[in-house]
Parts: sequence; C-alpha cells; structure tokens
Amino acid sequence: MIMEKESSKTAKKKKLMNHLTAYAFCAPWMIGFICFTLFPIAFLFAVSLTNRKLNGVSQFIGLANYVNMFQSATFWNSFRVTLLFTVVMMIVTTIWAVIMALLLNYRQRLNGIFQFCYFLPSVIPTVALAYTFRTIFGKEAGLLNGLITGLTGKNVMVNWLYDSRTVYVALFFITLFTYNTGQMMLIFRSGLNDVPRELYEACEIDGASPLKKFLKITLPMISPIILFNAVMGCISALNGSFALLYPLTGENGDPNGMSQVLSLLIYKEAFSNMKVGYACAMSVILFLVACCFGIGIFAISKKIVYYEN
Amino acid sequence: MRRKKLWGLIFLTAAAVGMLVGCSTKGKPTAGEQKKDGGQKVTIAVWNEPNKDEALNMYAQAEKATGIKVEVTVIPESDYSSKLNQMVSTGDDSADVYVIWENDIANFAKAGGIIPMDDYLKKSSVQTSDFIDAVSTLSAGLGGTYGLPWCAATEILYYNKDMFDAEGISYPGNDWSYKDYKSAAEKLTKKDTDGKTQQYGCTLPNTQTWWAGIGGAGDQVYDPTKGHMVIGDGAVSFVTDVAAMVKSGVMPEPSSDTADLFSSGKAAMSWQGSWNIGTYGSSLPFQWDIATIPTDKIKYNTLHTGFYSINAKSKNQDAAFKVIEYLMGEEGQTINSKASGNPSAIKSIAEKGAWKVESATSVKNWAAMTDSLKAGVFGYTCLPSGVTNNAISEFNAAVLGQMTPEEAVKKADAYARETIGY
Amino acid sequence: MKSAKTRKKAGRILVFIIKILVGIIMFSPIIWVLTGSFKTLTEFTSSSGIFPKKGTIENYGYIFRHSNYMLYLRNTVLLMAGTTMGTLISSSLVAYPLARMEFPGKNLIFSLIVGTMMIPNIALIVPQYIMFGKVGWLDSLLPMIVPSFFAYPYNVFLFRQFFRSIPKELDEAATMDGCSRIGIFFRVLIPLSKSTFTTIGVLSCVFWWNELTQPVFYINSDKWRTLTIALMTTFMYTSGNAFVINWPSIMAASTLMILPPMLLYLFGSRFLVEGIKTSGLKG
Repeated sequence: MIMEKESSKTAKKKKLMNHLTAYAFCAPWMIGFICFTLFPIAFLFAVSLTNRKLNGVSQFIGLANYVNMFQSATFWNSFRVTLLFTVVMMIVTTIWAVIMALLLNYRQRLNGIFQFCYFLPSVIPTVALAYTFRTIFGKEAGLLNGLITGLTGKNVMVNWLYDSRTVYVALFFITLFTYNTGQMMLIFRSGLNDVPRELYEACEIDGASPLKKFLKITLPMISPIILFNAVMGCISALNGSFALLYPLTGENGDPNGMSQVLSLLIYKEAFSNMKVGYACAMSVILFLVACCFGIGIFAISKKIVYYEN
Repeated sequence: MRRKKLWGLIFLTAAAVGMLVGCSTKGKPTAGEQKKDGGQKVTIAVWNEPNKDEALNMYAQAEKATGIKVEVTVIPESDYSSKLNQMVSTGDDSADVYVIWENDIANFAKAGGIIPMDDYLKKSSVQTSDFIDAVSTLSAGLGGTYGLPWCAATEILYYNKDMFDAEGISYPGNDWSYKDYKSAAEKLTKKDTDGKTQQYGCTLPNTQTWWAGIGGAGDQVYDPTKGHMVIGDGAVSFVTDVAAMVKSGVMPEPSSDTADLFSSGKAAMSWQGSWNIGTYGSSLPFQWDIATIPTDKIKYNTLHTGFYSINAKSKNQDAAFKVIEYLMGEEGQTINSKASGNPSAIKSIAEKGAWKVESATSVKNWAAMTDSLKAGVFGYTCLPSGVTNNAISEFNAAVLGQMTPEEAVKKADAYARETIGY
Repeated sequence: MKSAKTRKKAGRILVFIIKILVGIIMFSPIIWVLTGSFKTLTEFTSSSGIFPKKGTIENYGYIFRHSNYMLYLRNTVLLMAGTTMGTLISSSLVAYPLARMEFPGKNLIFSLIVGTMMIPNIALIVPQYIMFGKVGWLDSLLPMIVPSFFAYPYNVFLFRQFFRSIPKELDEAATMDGCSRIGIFFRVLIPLSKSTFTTIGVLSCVFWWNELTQPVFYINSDKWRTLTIALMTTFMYTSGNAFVINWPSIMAASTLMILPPMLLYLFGSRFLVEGIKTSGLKG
C-alpha cells in the first residue's frame, strides 16, 4: 500500500515536472501572444474610441469614428474592394499554385530548371515586383503593349493599370508572382508527393483519363492542403496587399479608388491625414473581416474537405 | 566536420547579430551624453539631400561659421510630414531642428512639439520684419514665432524654345492668358498618322500644378480662416479642360510608368515647381526658358516654403538657434538660393538675385520668378496631404473618363469635409 | 496498344510545352528587370524593346554613388539575420511540446496559435506602432526583431508538422538512455530536423529581405533604412527632382536585390520540398 502510494506520488511529481517543462517550452509564445497580439487588440479597440492624432493628442469621443466611417463613401468603396481583392486573389493564386505544382510533379527532364523559373519570381521583393509591373503594364513604353503591337501589327496603347476595364486583370495577374504563390506551390508539391502511388496505379488499370484521375484521387487527397493554403492565401491577401499595392497604385488606389484596399486606407488615414483613432476604427473592421474569412473557410471546409481517418 | 563548421558559422552570425543589435540600442544614450557635455552638435531633419558641392552645402558652411557640428537627417519627401508627426508624438529628440511644412506648423505648435523663438529673436540679427507678406499671415494666430521660412518657391511654366521656334510661335510671356496657352499647346502637338501623339503640347499637371490651375480658374483652394479646402466651379472647369486636352492628345494620359516628358524632349511645355530650374540647369539637350503660369480668371500659383523650428525636446536649443541664425542670415540664405534656385523669403536678400541659377544659361526671363512670387499665396500645402492627393486621384479618374469632372470635384470635396477638422 | 502509347507520348510533349510556356511567363519579369537595368532613362521611357540598344552600367554607378547603399545593405542583413535567428530558436522550442508532449491546455494553445495565424498583421500594426513608440523603439529594427524571438505562429505550425513526422520511438529510446525532455529536443529532434530548419530559415530570410510594410511604418530616418524602403525613396528619383522616377536605377537596385534570394534558393532548394510536411494537417 505505502509503496504504491509512494510510486504514485513520484509518478505524479514526474507528470507535473513534465507539464512544467512543456509550459516552459511554450513560454516564449505565451509572452509574445500577450505582448504583441492580445494587448494590441485591446489597445486597438480602446484607441478606436478616441480622436487620437498622429502627434499623440487624443480625447475620448465614443463611437463617433464608427459613425463617421459608416457614412463615408470612401470607406464603403474600400470595404468592397477588400472583399473582392481577397476572395479573387485567394482563388487565383491557389489555382495557379496547384497548376504549377502539378506540372512540376510530372517527372520530366529539366524539372530543376523549371522549379527555379517558377519559384524565383516569388523571391523578388514585392516593391521591385510592383515597379517592374508598373513598367511592363505601362502605356507608352510598356513591355506588354510592345509585345501585342509586335504580334498583331496594330498600334496597341492600353493603359493597363489606369483603365477601369483592365486594372483588375492586371492586378490579379501580378499576384501570381508574389511570395505567397511560390510558398503555396512548395506546400502543394510536398502534399502531392505524399499521395500514395498505388492509388494512381489502381486507377490506371481501370483506364481512367488524367482528368478523372485528378478529380477522383488527387483533389480529395490534397483537399486539406488546399484548405490550409486557402487560409494562408486569404491572410496574405489581406496582409500582403499593402506591400504590393502601395508602390503599385499608391495610397489612393488608382484609378478611382478601384484598388484601395483597407490596409491602404488605414495607412492613408493614419499617416497622411494624421487620424490615428479613425484608422484604428478601420483596423477593427479589417480585424473582423479577417475573423469572418477564417470562420467562413473552416465552415465550408467541414463540408467538402476529405480527411484520411 | 562539415556540420561542425556549419554550426560554428551559425553561432558566429548569431553572436555578431546580437552584438550589433546591442550596439544599436546602446547607441542612443551615448549620443545623448556627448550632446550634454559638448552641446556642440545639432541635427537637422530635412527632406532633400544637401548639395554635394561643399561650397553650396549650407549645412557644411554653417558648421564652419558657427563651430557647431551640423548633422543632416534626410527623410524622404513622400513621408516627410508623417514621419515628423511621429517624432513629435513620441517625444523623439534625435533631431534638434525640424524644417517644417506649412500644414504642420500650427499643429506642432499646439502639440508643444516646437518652441517659440521670440526670446532668441530679440537678441538676434534675423530680419523678421522683412519676410515676404504671405509668411506673416501663416504664422499669425499662433501666439509666437515658431518657425522661420527657409526660402520661398513657387510654380512656373517651363517651355522648350526649340519647339516654339520650329512652329514659329512666339514665346510665352508673363502676361500670357490661359487661352494663349491652350491654343499654343494645340499647335505644338504633333501626331503620327495613326493618331498616336509624338510631341505633346503640354505635360499633365503634377501634384503641385493641379492646384495652380484650379486656383487660376477662380477657386479659393484653401480657406485660411477655417482651414478648409474650397473647390468648386474653378476646379470643374480646369478638370474639364485637362480632360479635353488629354482626349485630343495634347496632354498625355496619367500612366503607371510616368516619365518627365518635358526633359526628355517629348513635350513643349510643362507646369512645374520653380526648384526644377536648378535640377535642369544645363543638363537639357535643348534651349528652354520659363514664364509665369498663364492667367485664367486670376493670377494664381502656390507659395512653397519650409520653416526652421526647434524641437521642444532638444537638449541643445541654444546651439540649434545659432545654426538657424546662420542659415537665416545673408550668407546662409545666399548659399541656399544658389544651390536650389529658390529665392530667399527675406525680401532684401532675395532682391540681390542669388537664386538666378548660373548653370541655367538658357533662361532669360528671370522676371517670371519675381512676378510669380509676388502673386504666390499659401494654398494646398496647408491641407493634409491625404486630402490633396485624394483629390488629384479623383481628378485623374475624371481625366480618364471614369467619371464626370463635376462628380470628381464633388467626391474630392466630400472627402475633404470628412477628413479636415478631425 | 500502339495508339495508347503515342497518345501518352503526345501528352508528355504537351505537358512539356505547357511547362515551358509557364516558365516563360514566370521568368519574363526577371528578364525585364535585368535588361532594364542597363538602359538609359530616355530609352527606358520611350521604347518597349527588351534588350537595351546601347548598354550602360551607369545605373549601378548611380546607386552606389548617390546613396548609402552599404548602410542599407547592413540594415537589411541585420534585420534578416536577427528575425531569422529569433524565429528559428523560439518557434522550434514552442513547437516541441505541441508535437510530442501531453499536457493540459495543449489543444487550447494550439488552436490559439492557429487562430493568431489568421489575424493579418496589418490590422494590428497601428496599435503596435503606438506601443513601440511609447517604449522608444521607433526608428530602429527592434520592433521587428524582438517579436521574432517570441515565436511566429506560422513557423511554429510548420515545425510542429515536421516534428510529428519523426517516429516517437526515438524519444522513448532516448528516455531509456537517461535523456531528459530537454535532452531529447537537442539530441534527437534538432539533428533530425535539418531540412526543416533550412526551409524555414530560407523562407524567413527571403521574407524579411523583401519585407516592406513593417519598415515603412517603423523606420523614419536614413540611418535604419532598409533596401526595400530605399527602393521606394532613394533609388526611385533622379537626384534633386522628386517627381521624375528614375526607372533604370530602380531596375538596377532590384537586380541587386534579387541576387541574394536567388543564391539562397540555389543553396536551399534541395531541402525546400522535403522540409515541409503536410501529412495530417488536421489533427
């Protein structure tokens, strides 16, 4: 009896020690979470209720920022643009990453060179990418207009980034070259490698077409990865759009505010108009938008994602 | 073996990084200590690089004349105002002297970020009574002199003489009307057979000259009593004009790969800031000259300046004022004028004409500058840059035919209303 | 039978052609940057030809003569090395118990980590900015380096995925040999996770080398300017005129900025795919 009690005590002690070790390992994250996430969130809500200016002067004004914001046409335009940009960019980049990963996983000669070519654009600094495409899509001496002119023989002068009909096409094309797309491609590649070969072989015996193989086997098998990438794509669309669009179309989101996502507007309100409190109210909205996207994606995924077990 | 080397390398980098980061945090207090016992170093925050030629670098000359070490922190123009606001909000003391823009001086004074210089000025030789008139109106109502204007600049019309000669059109004069300008621009435009413009009559207005056009068309632009943006019929008429000129190929469309078409010899005229006289100098491959902005309803161009002011958190305000005193004196002002082409804001010094940039040999019409300064008023520069840039973005949309000029002006006005007076 | 074989061969060729096309699309911006950096400003703004008519290296000279290039480079390298070290150390530490230990609150912590992964940094940057201003960290690299020592959720996640793929029996064997929990981490897991350390290290380096948003918010003066900000400011304009964009100079600076990530990729490419473990993403 006594012996047993002793041993259970030491076992308990050992367990406790183990738990403490685990918490000690987690400590950096916990401190970081409190200091750099939880506190800023609380602070964000607090500042959004004041009329804080960039020079630090502030006063409590209740919900006035929110009232003004919901009456502002600029805000609503930006809100719509953000939703559109996030959803489309998420879809476009995910599909493109899958295509590139599929191509690369099709074993052929020179695959190393292809991966190099496919992945390299994503390591270009976003700023450099933005300026590059400003000139590629330029009106007078842009590469694209030059190419089309050369191919068709007609004098093509499309003002890609300033024409309301072409601006979105151009913008979403540029997102294919971002860091996020390259990273997604890597993750898809490793996911595709994990799909058991036997499944394909079994299918081949049945004489299935490549398309059928893709729909029947590949897609369900990589669906958890698609979900993961969709979430990451969504976050980076919300997050990374600033670094891409700020040098590309400016803080006003030219033309006519068509590319003014919320992050650009937040920057403009806080640093060009000095309205920090107002910018915080917008950040709250952006925060909520991100939460909705996260919840939404998981809700959809419950229905369609296939899990091994 | 190899692995060991790799780990060694990683640890070395880690150590090096740690040390460097450590140094960076320790860097500040030591600098502060130096300031305390010497009091002989003054840091000035400005937005453009000092002149590379030492004789034309007023800060280097100030250092020589006062014996105080002068250091310059360059903050890029695009975020100059916002970065300065941040420094004031955090009580940053890394710069002793700010060169402040028109729209910030009142805010900074109210927030206690800068100090009144009246006590210093009583004992100094700076001729405050001799400032150009517009300056005194801007600092009125602050209850003290918080800033001293470092120079004065404005917008003018640049034109390519060779192109005017080729078409046989007489050169623009300071008495040119807006109609004269428009008809000349049309005549100077040359197109290909397929309608693509080879030579534009005029460049698109830039961030400064949009406002010169709107003011000239009769709008007040900036109401100093309320601090509001005032645009209406004038803006509509100017935007309509620009849109028409873009449509007929006289002006280029706004585009993502913007280029200076005037300096590359693809446009005959251009409305730009006067400081470009110094930039162009003798570097353009053609003959060029300047004139005042053509007069539409009234003669209008915006006055630009910056104000030397002393950071309230600075630990060496006395030394800072000594440096400012030199920069505001005849020698400092003359060097600034020679280097930048901007006249002094002190009338008696400006009259001596040091601002007539020597390298710009093809410029004959220097009277354009004095006339423009006389007509110049403080305008859009007193408004938050978010508001004015937003307005230009709307105007560009109208120019591209994405909305009517009336809508663009209305939207710009609505945004200004919801933003100013926060 | 033969027709099936030829069809398969035709399919392979088709795939190969598509691969080449995609490769051209993806690589063309890099060619454009590279050749653009040897053009003069006038040529760049007036012709859309890919290759420069009269090559010039003046643009590179301009960058080095007219800016503190070495200072910006130092800042960028400091930022990159500091954050990467920080995130590798802290994220792997945090991932360890989440992957291989049982303790109360584990699921809560993991879901919080996944949850914070979804908060875009840009939504919190304004309050963080005020906060760092109060501590006096603005205009330095600290607001970016210090948080990296407190684990990035995304990297924690990647580490956890990888650690889970290492057989648990190894732990048990090590415990038998008298290894403590901490010992297991250093002696068993780290040596086996070289590829994942490399992958995350490379990805983190590339990310911070290219990062624009945070430096734009936190850095004021020339002293701590990084290459990405310099690209938007110092290299962007022709000297003295803030309204004429110096495109070839931007292209030259971009070319110089592309090179290090390119080399890093060549060094790390063999780890890149194997370092990311996606199996059992949920669970």
